[in-house]
Amino acid sequence: MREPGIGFSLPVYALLAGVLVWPMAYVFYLSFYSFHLLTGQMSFVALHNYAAVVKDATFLSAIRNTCLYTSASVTLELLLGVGMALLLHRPGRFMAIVRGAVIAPWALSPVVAGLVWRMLFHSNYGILNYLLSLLGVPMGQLQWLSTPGLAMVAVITTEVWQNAPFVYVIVYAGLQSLPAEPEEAAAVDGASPWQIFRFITLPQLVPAIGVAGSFRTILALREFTIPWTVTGGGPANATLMLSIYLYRQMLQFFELGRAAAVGWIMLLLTAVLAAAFVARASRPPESALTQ
Amino acid sequence: MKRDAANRSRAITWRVVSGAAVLLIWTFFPIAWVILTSLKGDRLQFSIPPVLLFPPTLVHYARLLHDADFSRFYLNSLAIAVFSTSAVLAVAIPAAYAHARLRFPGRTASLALLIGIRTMPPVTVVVPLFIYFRRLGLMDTYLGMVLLYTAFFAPFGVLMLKTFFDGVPQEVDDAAAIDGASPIRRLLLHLTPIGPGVAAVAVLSFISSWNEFLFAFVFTAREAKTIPVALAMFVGETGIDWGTMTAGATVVMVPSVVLAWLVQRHLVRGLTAGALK
Repeated sequence: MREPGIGFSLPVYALLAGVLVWPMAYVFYLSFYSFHLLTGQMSFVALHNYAAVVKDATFLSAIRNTCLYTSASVTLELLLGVGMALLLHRPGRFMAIVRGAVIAPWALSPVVAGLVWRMLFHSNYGILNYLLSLLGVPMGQLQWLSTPGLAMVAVITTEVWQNAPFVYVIVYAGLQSLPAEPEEAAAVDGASPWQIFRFITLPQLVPAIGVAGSFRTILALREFTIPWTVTGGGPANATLMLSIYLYRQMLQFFELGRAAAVGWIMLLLTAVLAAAFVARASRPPESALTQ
Repeated sequence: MKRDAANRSRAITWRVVSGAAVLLIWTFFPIAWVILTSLKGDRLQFSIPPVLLFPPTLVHYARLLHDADFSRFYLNSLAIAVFSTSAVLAVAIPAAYAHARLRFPGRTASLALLIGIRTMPPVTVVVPLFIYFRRLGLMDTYLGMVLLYTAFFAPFGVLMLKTFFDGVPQEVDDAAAIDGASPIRRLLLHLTPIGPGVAAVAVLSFISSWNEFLFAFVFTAREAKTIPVALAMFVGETGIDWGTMTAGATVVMVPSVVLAWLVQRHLVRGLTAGALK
């Protein structure tokens, strides 16, 4: 091999080409065809799949649900993750142990996280409703998983529980790399802890928060497993996400062309978001802060 | 005095301790509840108010142990995770070395591509891969699953290992190059210093494969079915069997939590290198 650099990378390129890049191209091609899985019938339908999907009320509610799920989860994960980082950024053995322990939910399979919270939210036998019953809410009155708004709360809670540690890990690393002098100087000048946080620590953390927020947004947008295991997309499609909608088009209705169109729409959404994050990240932090 | 002022914001006060306590409850209550439920006998599962003190029983674990299907799925998970982790290392180590140390045309573009490819939603490729897995006979096979996982985790492996190669002094390479060592020999020289990086990538790949649900759910049925898929089936199909479900959840979560705890120092690099999940 004349170019060892390329030779060394070839196995990775081959895998990516076969399992990711080529299927991406194929899914784009497929999105212009009607292709039924069981009959195997394939015919060119131009933009019909996209038109059919966009006119489908279920798809529109999947878009709404996904946006709500993503924005609420990421906001809460950022608040909780930053709070965790600030709280645990302290010396001592106790804090070191806590720092290692709080990443546990992130390490779990999302299936496990989903099943755990499904159990906790159970209306008749769940511990959550039992605790609420001590506060005077009769057992079984809050049907978490079969009431649309409450089901969304349950799904978002699971997502935040599992993924806030991700934000915490990144923000904590950012916090550790900050110099201590500006905070010390401000403290000497009589600034309050809140002022120090707001005007000195927080602005320096913006890049780390931005990275964590971008990753979480892209990952929450595609999340399948958590809504699937907690609610299965129900009740009455109230927690149906784009990923579940795609899955149903494919393996419930066997409309592969439509599923491909949804897949391509999700890819575009992700690409637009990723490009926006990269553009934002490449600007100086001051301008990012003033927005 | 200056020190005192700065330390004030990082002191461990009773408010900090109570904050940490709330955080630990939020983090561990659900996990502890699962383990507790898995140790309760069938009659206590649904008692309200919940029983906290009870004679623990391993009956649900015994049931899983004797369930041939469950053992099979557990073995599948283990085998697929081990194979795909080995494959990730095999393809990612040379590629990471190339991206860190060898100049080749398109290297910058290649790095950008590896980062960009990580943002693609896996659910998008499910449709075309489904068609081709059926045609190629890869449905419900170890080979199919290992191919998928290796392709999905390799870019992260390359990006993360590159940061470890970057940390090795350039002189190591230069001296070997002057002695006429081939690129492969030079790569082998680096394996000792980047050992911790290799271990971290291995552990994170293993966890990702062990925990993965979507692909396993779509592309396996029985022969290569993994534990997360089996767990998800506990819901709905058999009514609610919390004893078996929580025992199953416990045996799935223990390896991932222990492994993640072992590599926690390297998590930041792993997360930002390609955001695993």
